[in-house]
Amino acid sequence: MKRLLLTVLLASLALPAHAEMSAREIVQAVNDRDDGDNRIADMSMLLIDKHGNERRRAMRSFDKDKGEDKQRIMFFLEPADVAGTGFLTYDYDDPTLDDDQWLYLPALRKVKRIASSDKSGSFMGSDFNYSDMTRRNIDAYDFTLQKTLEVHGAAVWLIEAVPKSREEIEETGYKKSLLFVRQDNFIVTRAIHWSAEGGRLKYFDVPGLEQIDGVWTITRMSMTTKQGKSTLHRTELNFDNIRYNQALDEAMFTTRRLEKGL
Amino acid sequence: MRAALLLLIASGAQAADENIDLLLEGFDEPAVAESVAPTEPPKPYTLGGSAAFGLGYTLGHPVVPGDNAPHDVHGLSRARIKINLDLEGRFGDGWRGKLAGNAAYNGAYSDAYTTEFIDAYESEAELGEAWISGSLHPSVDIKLGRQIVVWGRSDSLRVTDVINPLDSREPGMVDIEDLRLPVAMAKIDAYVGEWGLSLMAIPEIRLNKSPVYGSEFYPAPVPMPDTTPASGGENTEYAAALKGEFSGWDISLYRASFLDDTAPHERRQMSGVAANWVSGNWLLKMEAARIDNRDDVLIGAEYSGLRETTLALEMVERDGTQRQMALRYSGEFLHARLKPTVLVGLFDFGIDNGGFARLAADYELADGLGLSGGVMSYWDGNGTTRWGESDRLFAELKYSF
Repeated sequence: MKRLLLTVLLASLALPAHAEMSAREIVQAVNDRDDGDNRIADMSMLLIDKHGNERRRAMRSFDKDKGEDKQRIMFFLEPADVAGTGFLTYDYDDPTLDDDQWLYLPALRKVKRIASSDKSGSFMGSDFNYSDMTRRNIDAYDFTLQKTLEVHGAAVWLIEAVPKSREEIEETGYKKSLLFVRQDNFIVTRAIHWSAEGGRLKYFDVPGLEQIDGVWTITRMSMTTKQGKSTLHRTELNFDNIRYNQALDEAMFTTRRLEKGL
Repeated sequence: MRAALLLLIASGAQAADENIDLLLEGFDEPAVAESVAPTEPPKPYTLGGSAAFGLGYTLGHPVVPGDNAPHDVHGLSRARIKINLDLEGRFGDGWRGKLAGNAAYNGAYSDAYTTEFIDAYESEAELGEAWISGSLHPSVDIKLGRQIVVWGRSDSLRVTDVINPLDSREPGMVDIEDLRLPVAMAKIDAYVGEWGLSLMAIPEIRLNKSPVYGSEFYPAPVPMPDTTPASGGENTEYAAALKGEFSGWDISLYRASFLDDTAPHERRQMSGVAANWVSGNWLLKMEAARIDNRDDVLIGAEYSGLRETTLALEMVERDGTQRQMALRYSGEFLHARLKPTVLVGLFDFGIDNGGFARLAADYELADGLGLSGGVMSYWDGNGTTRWGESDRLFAELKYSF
């Protein structure tokens, strides 16, 4: 009886009245939400160091779903010394399969395959890890619903995600995450990640969110790396000219195309 | 008891809320992304390139032949300005073209050098890649003109990569983008599923840019005459490649008929195979080639499981006797602003036959502006090389536009 009372009490304190879904179900809904298909977007990346010095990157990306798998090809447009660099990835839904990744470096005139198991590395020098840019295996996590909050004027669930294994921590670079999931559209609108090394926190934020062609779409997002209250580095990503349902055939997502360029 | 429990739970919840509030303060950074200009659509023509100023300083005292007398080349070995220009065009329906060229002047050389050396090293201006390409069919591409085709899977050693000659005048010191010399060819690529077939006819005969008489890397005590065979006609080279790409692995089969780079430039027949396998953080690679009656085999591995670091080892055995090994470290730090590399090359599976080590770092000063520098160390083997005095420091400031 006491245990039952305690459980009810804890639940009533921790959860909002309308939280019928479990944390696992919410994260599953995040993974399952319609994120569009056959997408083209221009991407501007701003890298800001702790002294406020800025570096810029510009890219064009093409995304396509192939069944449950996702394919993406991305070309660097700026700055000049990396223009022409291309990146192709096949992100498999099956967590037992390693993603296929290739890089084209114009200086080498060569498409090079990349071993991709470790996704804890920086994505193109930014504060985002490769694991932030691909889907995670939600079976590898324990999720706990913490509370509800309001973020950017919208109600969110606050969910704690803890990797079940050391391998997952090493692969993603994070030992724990807090996810802020919007209740109306299942977008992760904020997140705090505990880096596995260095005692750093990484703050993910989505200040730009729009419905484009009926798809909730992130148009601006940032990741800030902090140690204590000090900002070490920050990356802002802007997406422009986002278009869905474009005529992207499979030939677009090949090393042939990677080599030919944009 | 119940009241105490409620108090405990309430205070715990309050503490958790305070922790959350503290954490939320981390989202206080003001966004500046409004200042990021939207990406412009690709233009039909783009002119790009780079301008670089490089310095080199020889630490040892190598003595080389001169026009008048042998001389010590200790000291400044490079004070070079280099300009690269690339014009790229798009002509609709996927057709595109490229015209590239470069010019360089190195003011570090005195009159003590040989005429051959000054002619080859002091100044040069040459046409680089110059091609047009397009699709004849959704599955068939054609590319005509001076171009670079890289075969094989290795990054530091060559087994099947026989299409383009190399600039090897200063071992380990040539910029990677200038290492392969483009040659004129007609190339057709056809694709079916995971497979791609390439056919090439290469009329332009171009030899490696090798060290010349008067260089510390020139192997002979006297100049050795050599002439480049005529291009075209019966000297035309032919090549074919079949490549299959699959999840986690790929394979290429090669066949080439080409003129040997070394005199008397006899025609060689090469059949080869190259493959990659990916397993976790490991990329495994192999190449094998039969060139006339000689068999060359390469194996290699890359490991990228360490943070921002890639380690690579490649080993090759040529004709069952000659061996080479390359060990490469490359890293990315400060959000890819600092990129250190270490390359160790050995002319055997040990250090007895000589080799070199190159420690370098690239630093991005600003968008498109990079500073690089490092040290190159050579060591002699058992009489096979005599470049142990040629260690040098180098630095370069490069602006890309």
